[in-house]
Amino acid sequence: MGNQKLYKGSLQTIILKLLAQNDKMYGYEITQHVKELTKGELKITEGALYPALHKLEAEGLLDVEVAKVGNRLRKYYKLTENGTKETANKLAEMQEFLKTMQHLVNPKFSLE
Amino acid sequence: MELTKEQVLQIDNYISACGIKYYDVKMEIVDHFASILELRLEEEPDLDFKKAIVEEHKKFSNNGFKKLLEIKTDSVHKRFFKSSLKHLFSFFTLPKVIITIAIFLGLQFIMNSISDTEIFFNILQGFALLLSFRLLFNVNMRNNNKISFLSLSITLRFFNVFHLFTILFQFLDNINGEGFNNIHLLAYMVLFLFYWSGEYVYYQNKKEVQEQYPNVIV
Repeated sequence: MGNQKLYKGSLQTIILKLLAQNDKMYGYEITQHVKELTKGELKITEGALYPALHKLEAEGLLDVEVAKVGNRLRKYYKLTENGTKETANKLAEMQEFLKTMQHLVNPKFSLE
Repeated sequence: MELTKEQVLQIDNYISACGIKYYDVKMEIVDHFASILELRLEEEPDLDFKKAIVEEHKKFSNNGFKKLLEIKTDSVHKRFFKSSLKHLFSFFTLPKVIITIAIFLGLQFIMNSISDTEIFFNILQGFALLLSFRLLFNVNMRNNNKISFLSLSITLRFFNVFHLFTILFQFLDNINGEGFNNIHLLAYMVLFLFYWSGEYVYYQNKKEVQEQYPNVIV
């Protein structure tokens, strides 16, 4: 498992990207999806995930929908219109960041 | 393997005992714990359910639910002020502004027509007290028996400022004694307007919560 601290600053971008690919998702589903996609390399802790989701919701980037599942209620998150725009911005920022890092750590190779 | 009602209730009670009393915060954690425990029960049918809840709590975060509650409170505050401001602006429609001005002019006419303005202001003070009691019993007391929502509790706290103003006005009236004038009347009008718009904002916020949680009595 890689250094989790390196991923910490990208949590919001990861959530937004996942929600852009999937119509709506709930908290536990997000953690499992990330684990699956990264083959266990990245494990999002619940203590970090939910505060991030609530922040995004407060910023108006996410909308919520509550549905009854079995004997309990489930809160689904989905992107708002602003959220979709912000996802594109954040992904572009991330690409730039990765390019810069690539130049820094390995100047001979680049992502381009 | 789907959890039974009793098992979900067990998780719910545990999370409540950990200090998360608000439904809009708790519900999500209950579902999270339930999703994990459902999978664990499939793998270990003889799982000690109570023990498993405590284990999952330890895994949740180093600070338990403290950080989650802090962030959620902040985000609800942000949303509350945003939506309250939106509702407040939607409250001030032309008919309501006209009614407010008409009431003010009507009261001003009565104030100027009667010789003892102190009685007039005593009546206004009594009316403010009545509204204060109405708030206390109708909104606050009624909500004690229902499921509490973080978003509504913040609205209620803000709404309770009305009580504070009513008491402050009473105090000022008592020390003022004389000098009942138009400014005094305007202050009462602002107080009543605050109540009227505050109640509107509260019910609009409540409506939003009801729309988000259709299966829950708010």
